[in-house]
Amino acid sequence: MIFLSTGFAVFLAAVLVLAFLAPPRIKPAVLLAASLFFYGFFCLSFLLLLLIQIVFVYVCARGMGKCVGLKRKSVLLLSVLGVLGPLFVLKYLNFIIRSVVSLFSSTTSEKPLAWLGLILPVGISFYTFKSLSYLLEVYHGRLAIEKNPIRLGLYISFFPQILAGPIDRARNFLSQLPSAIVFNPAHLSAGLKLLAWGLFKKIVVADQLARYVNVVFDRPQDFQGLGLLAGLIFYSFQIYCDFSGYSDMAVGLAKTLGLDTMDNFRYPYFSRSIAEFWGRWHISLSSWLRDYLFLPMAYALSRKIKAERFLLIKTEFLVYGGAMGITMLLCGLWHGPSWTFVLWGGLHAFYLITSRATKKARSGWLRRLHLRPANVFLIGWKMLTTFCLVTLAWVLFRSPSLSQAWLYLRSISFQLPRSGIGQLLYLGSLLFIFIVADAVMKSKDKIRFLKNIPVPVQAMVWALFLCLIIILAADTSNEFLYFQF
Amino acid sequence: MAGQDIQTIKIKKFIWGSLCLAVSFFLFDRLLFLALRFGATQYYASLKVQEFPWRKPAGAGIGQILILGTSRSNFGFDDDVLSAVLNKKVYKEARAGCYPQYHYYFYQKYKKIFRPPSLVIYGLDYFIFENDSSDLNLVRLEETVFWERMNPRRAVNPASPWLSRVSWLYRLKPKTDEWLADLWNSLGKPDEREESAAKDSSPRHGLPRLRRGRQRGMPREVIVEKPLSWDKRFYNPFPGKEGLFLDRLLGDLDGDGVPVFLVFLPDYIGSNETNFEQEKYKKDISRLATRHHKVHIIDFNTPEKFDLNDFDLYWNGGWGVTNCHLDDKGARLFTGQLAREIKKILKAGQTENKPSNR
Repeated sequence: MIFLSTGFAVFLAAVLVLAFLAPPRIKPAVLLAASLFFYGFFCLSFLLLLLIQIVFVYVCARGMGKCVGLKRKSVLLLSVLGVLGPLFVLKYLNFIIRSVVSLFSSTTSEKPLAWLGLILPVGISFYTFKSLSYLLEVYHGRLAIEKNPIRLGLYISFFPQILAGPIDRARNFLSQLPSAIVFNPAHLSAGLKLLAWGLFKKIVVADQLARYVNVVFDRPQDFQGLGLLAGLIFYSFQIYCDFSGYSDMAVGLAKTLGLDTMDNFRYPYFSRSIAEFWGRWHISLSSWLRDYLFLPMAYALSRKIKAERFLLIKTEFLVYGGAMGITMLLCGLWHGPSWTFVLWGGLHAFYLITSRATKKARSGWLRRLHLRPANVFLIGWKMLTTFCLVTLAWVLFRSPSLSQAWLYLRSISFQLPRSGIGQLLYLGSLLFIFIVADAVMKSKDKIRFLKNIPVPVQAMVWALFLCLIIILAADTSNEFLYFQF
Repeated sequence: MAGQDIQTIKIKKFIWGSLCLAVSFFLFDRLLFLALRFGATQYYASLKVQEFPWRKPAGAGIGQILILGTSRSNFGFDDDVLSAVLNKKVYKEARAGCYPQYHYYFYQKYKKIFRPPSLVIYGLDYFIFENDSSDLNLVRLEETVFWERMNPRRAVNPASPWLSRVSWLYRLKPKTDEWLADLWNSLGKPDEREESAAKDSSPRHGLPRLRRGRQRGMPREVIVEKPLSWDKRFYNPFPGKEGLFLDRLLGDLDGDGVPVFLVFLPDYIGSNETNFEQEKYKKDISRLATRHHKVHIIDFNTPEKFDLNDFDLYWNGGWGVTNCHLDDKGARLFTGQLAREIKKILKAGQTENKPSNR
């Protein structure tokens, strides 16, 4: 059962009615049952693994509460290993064995452990990170131990978030239970609007772009010049619309129930630097990596290196570079067991470290050129360069292999394609309309005119929008890209 | 009290908004549907003015063999081999998106232009009763078909019959998609389109026949490693979307005295195990054949008749892949065997309505 099905619509309606009608104490149990039903719909063995994880996290957190000092640390270590274990075995073991074997042999099987019949459960990367977040918060004493296993289970398995995030924080989620789950027409309406907007992003924009992108990336040798460049730009927007569309739907679904979840995207392609991009792209993951990987690593390293300079490099920079390098490589690996993802993360680490290293020099140039940071052209230039760098890195993310990525990059030129101009124009127009609509959505609360539209007119606009979704929805519906992670 | 009033106002506003949404949706849905139907009809009508692209039959000999089918038949039958063994010219009308309704209308035109053929080879497809002919193909033969197909009273979108009741746009979404896909394709290949327009405006029979075996130069895509599990495909039974047209076509051929060979083309073992309801499919065809005279069934999709394990004979297919096509080598081998069998049957004067591979 996925969000884009009639079955899900019926399921959602039933969940809303039951959740709103249930007494406050039972509301979390109703939602937990709904979440487990939703997840179990994919595969019962996946559900079993999830249940084991919930029980394990609950027991470990309770255990942690009873221990102090080294014992507490040991329990944390054990629980982290226990939570990461299934993810490691199911997602990365094949990759590691394959990579090690390929060092000694030229012929390696794509899946050396295929005989074990291991299948990667959908959403495992997301609920594993949620579990880790809860355990680490409890360990550091920033969050009280959740005594009610139903509430904890609901946090880990909450159906709008389990398949592809956002990786919400336990504190934010648990603090809203159960008081927030009440029927509120404003919440319901806002949630459904967000759901429709996410649907539009996914099945109209992303899936339409996918028709072109899939062909270009599958057979880059058949395309020339600008066709490839357009394919790359379209992919940048495809992945954005696909994933942010899903996130909007997830946030909208939670909103219908009255729950506020964290935003996952904040117009990332308007970023002026790569660092800002990571503050706007997949925010729940990037903030997770910052809080639980980058900062602890950076603190640990800075505590170890006391000298101001190490190997002639400023310690501060060395610490930043080291921690950022490892964080981004792991971020790449989180997306999938493939060297293309690792390199993608590595490239972003390179961007971030270089940006940090050249910050002073760049500020100096700007002073010499008498350019103020608020200069419109400078802002535009920064946005454009950031977009280009991010888009360049997407080649690694999308290509099935490094050779394919290289082939793609090598073939890009500024030569006009001989055919397919009509398709490029159509998709370009669609993209333009989407960017304008997205900008309107972004600033709808600031524009007075939009706030004062009468209800019937608003309803007409949304009705027209729904009709357009039906018409323009791509005939070949693709699975959400982030489901594979 | 004030809080309660605000809540009541909010609920009233919500109900009023929902009502307006429902009414607006109903109106926009119908209006946009009518506009789309008009647009699509105009588009296909513009194609209809072009003449049907008849080709020159392949090979030489006395009489003509008509091959009908889908892309499986296009790839699977080698015209040259067939022509050489049976000493007849071959006209093949087989490609993706061509199912019984298309073949029925095609035959009506064909016999007016060439007169009824000496024999018809009909390449069967597991999805023969599941899929329907593409509008783009059909409207070139029969103008009224598209309008009929866009009739909202008769249509149901199988993806969600429930939503189909609510929205006309959704009900006919597959048809709209087909039109949009045709538009999309026409945007993508201007060169090919010009070429096809040029072909269309050429005089009848003046064009060279299409080269058989378009798979030449394409990489082989056969999944040879059997996975632990794979998606399997149910068979959609007769009559399905266009099965009655096959029945009508066989009836017409009967009336014209044309012997028909319904041929099960070989599929790679992986695809056979994916399209797993082969028995039901074959039974349906057998039942259909018994309703007509001069209809023979030749089944090459059995290991006794053809090697289903040798991936070197196939261009694509495998476990989890429903589509399977023979490659050049496979097509030559299969057509040679088939032609010899047809020759034997014709010689023996077997006209009984019995499967010949018993």
